[in-house]
Amino acid sequence: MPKLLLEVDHVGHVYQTPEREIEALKDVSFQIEEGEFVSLVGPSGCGKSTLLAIAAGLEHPTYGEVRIDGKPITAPTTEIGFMPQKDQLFSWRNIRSNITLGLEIQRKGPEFYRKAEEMMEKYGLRDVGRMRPDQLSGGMRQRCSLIRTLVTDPRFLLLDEAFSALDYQTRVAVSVDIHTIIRNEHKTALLVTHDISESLMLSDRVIVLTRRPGKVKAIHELSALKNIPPMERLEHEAFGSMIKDIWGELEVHE
Amino acid sequence: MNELRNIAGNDRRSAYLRRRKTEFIRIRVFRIAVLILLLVLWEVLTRSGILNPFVFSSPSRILATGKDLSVSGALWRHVGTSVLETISGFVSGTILGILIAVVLWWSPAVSKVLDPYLVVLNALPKTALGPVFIVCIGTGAGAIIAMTLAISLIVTILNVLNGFNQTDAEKVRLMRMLGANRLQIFRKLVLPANLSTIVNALKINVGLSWVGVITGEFLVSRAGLGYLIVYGSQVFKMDLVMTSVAVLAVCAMIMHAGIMLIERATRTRFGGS
Repeated sequence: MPKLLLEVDHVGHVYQTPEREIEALKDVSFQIEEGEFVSLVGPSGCGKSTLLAIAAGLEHPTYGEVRIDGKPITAPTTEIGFMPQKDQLFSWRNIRSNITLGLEIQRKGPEFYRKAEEMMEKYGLRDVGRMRPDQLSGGMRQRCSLIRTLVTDPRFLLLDEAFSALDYQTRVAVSVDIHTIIRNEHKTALLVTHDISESLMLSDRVIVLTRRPGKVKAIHELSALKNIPPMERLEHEAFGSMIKDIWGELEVHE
Repeated sequence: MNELRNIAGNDRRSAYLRRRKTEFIRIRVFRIAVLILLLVLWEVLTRSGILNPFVFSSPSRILATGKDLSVSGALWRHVGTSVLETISGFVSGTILGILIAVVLWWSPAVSKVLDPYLVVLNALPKTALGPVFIVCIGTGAGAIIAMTLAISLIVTILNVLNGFNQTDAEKVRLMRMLGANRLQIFRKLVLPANLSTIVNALKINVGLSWVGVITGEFLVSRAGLGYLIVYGSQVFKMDLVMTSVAVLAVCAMIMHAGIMLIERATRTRFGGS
């Protein structure tokens, strides 16, 4: 029986500004089980990033709470790994020391560094270990960014529009690559994105948020696409109609 | 066929490299030519009496004065005094400025409280404080270094703090998610990301330190290049004034070159930004 890992429990968030209150999120609830890959899609300004910041422990919700393994998240925790929008590799560090940045910060022991070497070997980064980030392609850099997150061994991954900075062709290839690695390492992940086809390609489940204040509009279990690899999903008969459904729910044209 | 194309390619390449080299040499030659032209013009105009050599001095008179001064040892004493004051002011202004910027970055609350004071101090012409330093510290090297510090400190704080605060917010967020505390964020992100800001502050401060030292010496001192300039003008020895200015230019250039070396070292060590 799959174990519940992340619970978003009636979370709401109101921003205060001197001029007015802005309600960003309203009563959002959903759950993610261990090993699942879930996407959160919504129109821009739907509170996706607010929800991400709350789940990351960077921001406190106005009401409700997010729990990991039953424990409320109130501050950034090393149990949650974060993959930012751009790769955010540090130009003054080589690839290897970018990847071990988290281990340095968390003062991890040598076994973690050994594991980092193994992962670099496994995912083809060993030969570029001494190179500078700007010597690598966008896709390779994104892979480094993921490995940097994975080597600290978090229980849960947050992917913040992780592919949106890349051009279309690279984006598809990189998202598939990142997805494969996450599956391979048996990690649980929440991907925040505005790209519907990306969410359908990669996820077990898609959660659709409404525009501000963000509420859960629909949750799609992608059972029809289960066990189908991402690229083949593109050709599945249900794919087109699913895009259309979610597109309709986003109410982009209003 | 392929070979043929390669040879053609190599020719293109070497032609390009040759053009680049001649271009480089040509610019060098013209630079030196401009200097020689100006010096010759100066010399000719003063010798022919079109310009008064007692007011405008001349390259040959500057050389002669410089030779006399260095033989008597006076030149080295004055240069030594000014260089020492400049380096003390430069080092203390830079280090203190960076330290204060670190404190203000660390505590946004303190930064907000002090912001208007920094703005006012930055706008204030620091030379106005000269007499205050003289009264408080006395007419010695202390007042001159204080003057230099006053001129370079505030600019350093503002520039460096600005750089610190503009560190990519996404990277700060990444550091926090990796579990970094504020010290780790500073050491592993903010400081290395701002090395170029700091080197820029060094460059600006070299120039400002010389301004501080020369104005300080104008006001109080018994030695130094600033003193020589003021003394020379008071006894109407323009040769002495011009010689001091020339020596000053050389000293400032050498210090600037030193900073450029530091810049190159940080760039090779940390690879760009």
